[in-house]
Amino acid sequence: MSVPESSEPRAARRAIPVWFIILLFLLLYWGMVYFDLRSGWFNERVYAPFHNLEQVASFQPISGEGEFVMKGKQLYSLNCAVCHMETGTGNPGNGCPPLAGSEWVSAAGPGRIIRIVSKGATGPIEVAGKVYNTGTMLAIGDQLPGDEPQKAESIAAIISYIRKTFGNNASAVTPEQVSKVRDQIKDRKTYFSPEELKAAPEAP
Amino acid sequence: MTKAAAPAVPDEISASCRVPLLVLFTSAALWLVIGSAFGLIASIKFHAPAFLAACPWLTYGRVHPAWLSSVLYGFCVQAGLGVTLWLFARLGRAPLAQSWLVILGAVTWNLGVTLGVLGILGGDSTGFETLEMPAYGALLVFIGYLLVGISATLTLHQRRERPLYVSQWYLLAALFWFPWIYSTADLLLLKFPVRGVAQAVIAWWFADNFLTVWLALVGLAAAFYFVPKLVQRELHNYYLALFTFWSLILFASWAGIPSTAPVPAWMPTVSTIATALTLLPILAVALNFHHTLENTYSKLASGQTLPFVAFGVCGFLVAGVMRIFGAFFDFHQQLHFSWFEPARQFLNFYGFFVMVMFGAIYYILPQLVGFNLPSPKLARLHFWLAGSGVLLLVLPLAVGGVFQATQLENPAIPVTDIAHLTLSFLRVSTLGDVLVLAGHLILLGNLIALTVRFYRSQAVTAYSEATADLFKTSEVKP
Amino acid sequence: MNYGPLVFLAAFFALAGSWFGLVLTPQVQVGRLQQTNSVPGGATYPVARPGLAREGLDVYRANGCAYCHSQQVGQTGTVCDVVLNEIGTNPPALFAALGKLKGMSEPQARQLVSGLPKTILAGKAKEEADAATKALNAAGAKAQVWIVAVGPDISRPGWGVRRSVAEDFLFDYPVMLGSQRIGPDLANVGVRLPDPNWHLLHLYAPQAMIKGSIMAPYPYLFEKRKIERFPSPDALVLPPQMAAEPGFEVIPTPQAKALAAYLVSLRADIPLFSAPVTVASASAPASTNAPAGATNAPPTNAPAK
Repeated sequence: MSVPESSEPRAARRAIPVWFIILLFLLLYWGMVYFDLRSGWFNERVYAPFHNLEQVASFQPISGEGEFVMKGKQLYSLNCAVCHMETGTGNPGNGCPPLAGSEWVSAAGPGRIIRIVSKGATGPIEVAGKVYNTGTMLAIGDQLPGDEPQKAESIAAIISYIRKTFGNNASAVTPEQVSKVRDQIKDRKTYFSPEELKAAPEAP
Repeated sequence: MTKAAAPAVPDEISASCRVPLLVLFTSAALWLVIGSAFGLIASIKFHAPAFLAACPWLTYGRVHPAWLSSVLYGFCVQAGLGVTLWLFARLGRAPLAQSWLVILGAVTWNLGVTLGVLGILGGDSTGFETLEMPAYGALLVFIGYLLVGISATLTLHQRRERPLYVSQWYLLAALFWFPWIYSTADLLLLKFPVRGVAQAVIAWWFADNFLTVWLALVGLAAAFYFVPKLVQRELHNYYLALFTFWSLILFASWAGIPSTAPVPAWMPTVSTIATALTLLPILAVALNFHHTLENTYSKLASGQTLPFVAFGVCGFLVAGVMRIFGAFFDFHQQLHFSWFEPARQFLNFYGFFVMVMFGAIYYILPQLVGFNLPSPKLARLHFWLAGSGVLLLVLPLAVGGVFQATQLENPAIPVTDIAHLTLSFLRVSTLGDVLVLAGHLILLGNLIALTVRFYRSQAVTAYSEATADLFKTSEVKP
Repeated sequence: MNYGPLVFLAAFFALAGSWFGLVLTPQVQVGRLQQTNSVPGGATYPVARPGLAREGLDVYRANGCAYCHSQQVGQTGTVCDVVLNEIGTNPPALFAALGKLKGMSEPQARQLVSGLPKTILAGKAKEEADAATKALNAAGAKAQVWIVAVGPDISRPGWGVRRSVAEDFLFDYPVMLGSQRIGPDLANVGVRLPDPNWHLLHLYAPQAMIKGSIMAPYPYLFEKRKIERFPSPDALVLPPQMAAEPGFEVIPTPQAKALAAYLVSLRADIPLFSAPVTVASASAPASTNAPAGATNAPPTNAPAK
């Protein structure tokens, strides 16, 4: 009781056409080129239509001073307010000078304040007529997260913020200015003393 | 390890496969009818939005995934497993091993799909496309697959014809493919969910590996078997089939991430490259069949199986080309959101896979029960209904999708107007839904009729054997 | 390939490769994302959705809204506009610079700078925009480069100002990006339609809120009940042809309210590092014109290397 049927199929062994293999390699080559152009090389921050991380970074908005100073405010709260207080009044009991009315902060040229924020300071320092002797400021700038360009930008944001707040009214500072100064002091490993600071140029 | 036993005769193989495969195919056909009923309801809702709107169980957002799950899990995988078992048994010339496992597995599978579909309708859908069945259904489905898979693996292992034919590679790979992708997807999305958009990536990976790789593996295995066998020619190129196998599993498995995805650029880029590379298996399949069928194309119209399988292979090729087209001409990323994508998906899982399965089932059924279909003309009618249904579903939606994409590109046209434009295309596709539903009813009817006829003839034979003594003794008395 | 184990190994390695590349690596890269910061303000993004909105996400999932609505905005390019904020200290130099940039005479330039801030150049490449801004700032004015995303999605009003990125979906489970735009994209609907009541009405009677909508109504998310002593403050205010009979009111169920809260929480307008764009902020001058370049610039590719 079975339905008649044909035998099981077989497969003949023949060579694959050569053009097929050529097509395979052509497609693989195209694939490599396409990947190189479009993939951002597995970087997780590159989304289409951007092609690579540099392109994404170049399009970051730095829309005017306002946003930059706001960013500086956030970084100040995270890194500086512990000692210098949110109000910038400092903590004299701890040897922490104020930022409000500080001539170091609102000097016309930001060279010195960039050095202080980058590498820290120690020693008796006179701020707004008072001498502060018991405190040491750590190299907060060096300790900020990210690589050197990001540190420079964060330091610039913080300094711009403190130069425009607490009653200060000085100019903002750009990351380029900060980078220039940090380049000059990059191998330094000790805190600045007030004498060294006074000897350093104000202009970056 | 059995000693080299003599190859089993076809009757013995059919007998061992009969009950398991009848269970698998009948329940698959039943799911197909249920699924296409859901599909019809979903389709009608576009023309009458308030149709059954008061019933939360039948809202579009639930009945659409219910349709998809019923067709994919209820029919496609079950029929695919049935065809796998048949081909392993026949090509290996060994009877089906541990057939009780298959029956148990089929029952578990069907229970799982039932719970899953009811869960979707009740609001428990997982939210991930093609993986909508909730965990309680998914677990049973997975266990059912494993049970059937064990039987299939044993059948292959115990084969008496040791050299492997082309189809057996494809089916062995497919057998292994589904449990891995299904368990990974369910574990990483339902049980220990990953965070954020990684869920979407894994869901796309699963959908691609299921719909593009698994269905292609099983569908091509069936096509590589039935076409050469029924036109009585050798498959033209063994190595080309081998190349198709490798390129399919290597390239198509990476092709799931759409270019619109909110993921880092490398993922859609890699998927686009993989999609372009799937041109190779498509060309290889086309070449292989073309040379196998040289001068015998007319034979494709004969019989019950070849028309379906031939249609299916064409569906595979066209769907593949549509996919490559969609990757490179995407109308500023709007094509992915148009009806073109569902049309391509439907052509792939229905116009290719389901059609090939129909052909396979119409071939295997008579072999299982020992006599032909009650009405071969009905099988022909089924082919015309299914074929025209597929064309009426795919063509308008594909064309409508392209128009929709060009309009989505234009921000001045409100989305509501664009939706109205697609309605005329949807009307034609609803007609397609009706036709395929009619076809499914024919299939189910054929299956039930054959099964009934077989068991009735068995019962008649058994009865007449049992009562032969009675009649004999009555004859002796003068 | 006559050996079963060989075939199995082939399949194993192929799938293992795909698993490694598209399951493991994305999980490592994107599945362990933490919150990020908006640029340049530095606000934490995203914040977790409020509780009612999280329940609404669940209602969204249970009713399959993602089968008609996508939630992913795309962009096809990024361009730069130059916006002049203030005339500054040296108007004649400014007019000269404007003349050089745009080839206009002094009266034209004078006319141009009335009613600042204004977009001077639109849809330019980064280098050109930077150079123009530098020239204008050197002339004493205050000019600024605006980064603008372009694309058919961005050009649609209210669909978002930049593309969707991974961080947008950080706290959602499940992430339902949707794959069809039978209805509009919802990534930014909380900004486009911020009133939860609008959404409630829309769910109850879509055709009443959007003319010609083919969205199905969802009456089961609402309850029609007899008015007790006083009408409920939650009752929907329906147009006359859809209003309930006298003595009855339509109240949204908690699910409907949750869904509305979820929809209102969807936004795609915060600029991030991966999707940079300039947005008007509180510290910027008031009554900023949305740079016309955003809608008029043809979609251009980002200036590629």
